[in-house]
Amino acid sequence: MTEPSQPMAAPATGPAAPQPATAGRSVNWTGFLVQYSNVLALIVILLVASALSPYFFSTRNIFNVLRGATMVGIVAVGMTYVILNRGIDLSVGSLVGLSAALTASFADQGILAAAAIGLASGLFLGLVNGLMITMLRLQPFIATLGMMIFARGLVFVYTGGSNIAVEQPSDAFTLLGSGYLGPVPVPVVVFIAIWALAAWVLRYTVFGRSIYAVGANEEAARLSGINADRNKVLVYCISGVLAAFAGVVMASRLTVGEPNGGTLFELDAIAAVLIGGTTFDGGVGSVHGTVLGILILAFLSNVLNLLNISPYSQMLLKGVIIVLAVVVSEWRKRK
Amino acid sequence: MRDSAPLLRLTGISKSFPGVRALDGVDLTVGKGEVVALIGENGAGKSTLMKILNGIYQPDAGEIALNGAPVAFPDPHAALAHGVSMVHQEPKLCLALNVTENVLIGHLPRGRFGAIDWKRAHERTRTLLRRVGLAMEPTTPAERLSIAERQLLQIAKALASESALIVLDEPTASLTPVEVDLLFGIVRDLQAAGVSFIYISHHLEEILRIAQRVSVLKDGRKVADRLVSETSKDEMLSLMVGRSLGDRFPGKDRRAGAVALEVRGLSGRGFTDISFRVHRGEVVGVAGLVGAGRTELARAIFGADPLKGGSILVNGQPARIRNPADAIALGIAYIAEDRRDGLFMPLPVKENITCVTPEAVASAGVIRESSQRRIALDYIKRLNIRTPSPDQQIRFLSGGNQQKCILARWIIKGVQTIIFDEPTRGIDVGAKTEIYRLIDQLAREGKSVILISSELPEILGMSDRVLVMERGRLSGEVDGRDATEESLLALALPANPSSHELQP
Repeated sequence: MTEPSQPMAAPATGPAAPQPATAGRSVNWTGFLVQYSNVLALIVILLVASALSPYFFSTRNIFNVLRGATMVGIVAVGMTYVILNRGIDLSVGSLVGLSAALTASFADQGILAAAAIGLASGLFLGLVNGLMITMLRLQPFIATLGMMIFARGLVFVYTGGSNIAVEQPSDAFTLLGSGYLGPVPVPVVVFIAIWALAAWVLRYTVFGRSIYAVGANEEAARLSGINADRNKVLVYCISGVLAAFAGVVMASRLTVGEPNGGTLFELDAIAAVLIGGTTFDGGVGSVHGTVLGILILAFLSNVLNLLNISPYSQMLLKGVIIVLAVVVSEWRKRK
Repeated sequence: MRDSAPLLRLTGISKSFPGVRALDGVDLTVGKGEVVALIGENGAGKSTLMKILNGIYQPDAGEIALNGAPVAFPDPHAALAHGVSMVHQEPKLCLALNVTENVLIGHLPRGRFGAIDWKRAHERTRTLLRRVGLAMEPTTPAERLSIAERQLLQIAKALASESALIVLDEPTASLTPVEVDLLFGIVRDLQAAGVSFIYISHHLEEILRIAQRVSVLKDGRKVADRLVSETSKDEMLSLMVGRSLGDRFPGKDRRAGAVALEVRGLSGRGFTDISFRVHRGEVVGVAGLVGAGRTELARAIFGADPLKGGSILVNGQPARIRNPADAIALGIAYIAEDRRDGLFMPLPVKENITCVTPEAVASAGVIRESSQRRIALDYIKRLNIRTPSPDQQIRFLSGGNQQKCILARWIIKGVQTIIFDEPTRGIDVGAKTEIYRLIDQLAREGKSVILISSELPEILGMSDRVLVMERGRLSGEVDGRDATEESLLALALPANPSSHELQP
């Protein structure tokens, strides 16, 4: 039957459709609030924080908060790629732990060799994630859930369940996690570099745009000659490597590989991605949004700490914020 | 009959969609215990009318009356509550659930504490199954049923809600002759028990067998009502077709060149042993009923679905096409039947236009936004795409403009052969004419066009040659100048002995 299947279609002979994406002449305040809700949320948090505590806007506090956010932040950048691609990667927390344990245990080989081993573990298991999803046609949720449990098992088997401490860590080893470049912690500098590179790749490369295309409509991508399977495999590899890199930062910072390192990172990363406006439907969102999400979560918990609110109660608020953020990004889409 | 009013009377039903008048003052009556056939070409308005009768669409004007009393169907539940049910072509069942749950869904009998009374439920299902001639256990999972059994199950489901009127939409499309006989037996039994049917079908022989009256829709109007005993297949055919084409289509004074694409003995899922050639500068139409295997064939040529056998030659050279990327590299494009399969809704127009041509907008994998924008703007202008800017998300464009963006993609790519699958489905008349003009222009530039369409006027208006498919096979080839709707329909309808135009 060829009855019109799209009653929404406006007559092409009429005037051009109004452009809902840009604001009209009169300022649409609701639209503005919805569009920039997460930026506003961050500003509100910062204002409240500075009003509550004179200590908040000190260089030290700000950089401490930022440094604390970098590990989940690096993971969340990879998660952004995965979710834009219409997938999910639950294994990243375990990959952080595995890489941290490997890096710590090979510390005597020098930081470069140790880091390379850690990164290789993330790359390899990320590749396995991608192959399970493309070759075995497993749902990303299921494949990476399996990997999450498997990789955590690896960490426990490898560490025997106890911490692997680095004996007399060299300055080179601790530089990545604890060093400073002027007043700025090295991990913050590194995170900014990763953020910039990841955002550039997404925006300006054919590969990056294919991530959006596959996420927005895999069938259309395939019919456009895009190798959707290869695109997905690469995305999970990147997520795995970034998680492993977060593990290297962790080992360098703590000079110890903990069997439980990185636990729940996957959920914090997903939360940051969602707060940043990237949607589970794929094809919509950005790394910038995710960074905003990371900052919101980090400064929020800093403020709540300054207010002496217990970590348990903080979780109540975090849960509400995540759900609200998704509701707002649905509104944003509907405009 | 207790009442002189007919069971169903539709009066003056009209329905418009933006740019399309789907129904225009349609009247239809169905008496108690009567089988009324509804026929018409694709796009004539049958589906829209049935969707109104089932509460899926609301009419712009007109009245629905049951047993003489006006009723309104704001949603499908209301239609069901009034005893109107629909048996879909592709049965909508919950496959993981059992037969009882499917038949009694929504009104499973309750026992104490509101728990489901399974004994009574299975008992009632058994009775209903018997009425439609099904002998399986009520606990059988629905997924184990054949297509024919699923059709009958849907009828049982309709009986469960005490439907007085059942709409059968192409119920025999995937049934064997024996199963068709079985279905007709059931319909006659139920008819004798006072149930009425609206029977939608392209199979005119079936209508002669099962219906008492036939109503014909054409271009959203009812053009005839006939007693089946007083009509013939030929009369029904001529009532369905034969409108003036007007000047919607460009002229056909095109010149065919060398063979661009040839397929030999191609077989795959949904089609068998297909051979044909397409020349440069030629528009080859592919006609056939829904389900004849046209889309399956096109997708397989394009590498989107696997082939089971046969070979494809591009410019005379054997080609190996394993995926769409291979086909594109060989200069073949496919524009999907469902426009949504071609669009990246959240992405801007410029990316939707340039997504298959990274070589034109990127170097070393890095996109030059200025070239991307320039190319997009160029084609927005050339194809008269109505968008406020190349940065607009494509989901905000109308169907016709979206389709032009997809076409722009392949023009930029410079492919030799373009397969259009229902390119004007659901788009308004003005944009249709523009698409026809663009297709013609492509052919004149020496491109080869394969045009799959269920709208016969479109096939007739555009094609230099027409291939007709019927149930997965090529049932004939007709010269575009000699083809008529009657000759194409005769080839497209199943099991038709008069396929004298069949050519090797």
